[in-house]
Amino acid sequence: MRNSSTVVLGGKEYEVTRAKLKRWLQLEDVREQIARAADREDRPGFVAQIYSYLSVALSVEDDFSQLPWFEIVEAYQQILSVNIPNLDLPLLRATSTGEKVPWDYEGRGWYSWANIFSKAFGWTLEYVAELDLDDAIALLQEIKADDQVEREWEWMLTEVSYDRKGKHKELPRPHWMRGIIIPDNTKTKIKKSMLPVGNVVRWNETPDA
Amino acid sequence: MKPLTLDKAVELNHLLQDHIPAIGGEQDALQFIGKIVDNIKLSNRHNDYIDAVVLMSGQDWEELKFLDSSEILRLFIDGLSINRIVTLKSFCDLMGLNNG
Repeated sequence: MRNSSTVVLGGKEYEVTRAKLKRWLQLEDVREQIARAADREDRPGFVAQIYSYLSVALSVEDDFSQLPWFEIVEAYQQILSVNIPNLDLPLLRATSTGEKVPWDYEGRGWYSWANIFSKAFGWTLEYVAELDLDDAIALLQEIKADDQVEREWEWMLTEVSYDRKGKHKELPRPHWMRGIIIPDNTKTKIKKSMLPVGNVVRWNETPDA
Repeated sequence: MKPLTLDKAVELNHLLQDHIPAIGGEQDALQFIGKIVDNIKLSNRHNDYIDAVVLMSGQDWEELKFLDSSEILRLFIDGLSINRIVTLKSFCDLMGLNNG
């Protein structure tokens, strides 16, 4: 894992350090704009956002537009690799639908994260902005897991969580909390003499009248 | 000839993306570029070849049209080499620019 790197653009060296939370979210916003421009086949927009990514990451307003394309791409990829989260958290494997809420706005990502941390821990915006990326993502996962467990408890106390037979319906968990189910393909041999005879009634089933 | 800036490199990829063969096997650079030229001929999109040479050389077609066809081919080959066409296409593929 690399926490810093040096990129060379137009013969000038720039030190790239791993972004703290606020800067990282800004970079992720720009990365999303890059992906959207590519989807729309908006090539000028795509190029402009790549330059924007470099400017945000390096905190400079230098003009990179006359440099060879491969210098730009190499710098982009180096910055990207420095800013990849080190922890392999289930939350990061969650798939996003990419749909935006009607009250979305540019830069909302940062305010959304700041809101979650301020509410959970009473931290100031300045403190949240300087959080280490891995700490921030791990804490976010813990907050979301706590919220889900709390919701499950509240759900269990409501009448609608039980069917007509009184059986409890579990509140669905988000995909990242369900874990990876590895199918057990090993066959267990059981002696014929040990197998049950006649109709089998399981404990969790009510026999038909 | 100088390497292209990012905006022009992305345009070059756009012109040639359909003509660039899959990378693999034991082919040298000349065979690879020859395949690109063949693919342009087969596609009947000859303008892609001209536009690519104009873009990479930075010269107008009005200047280039007086050159011998082998000189134009030389510009095309040099341009693809200087602009690392395989790396360029891989980057554009990776970024989703060639999905359309």
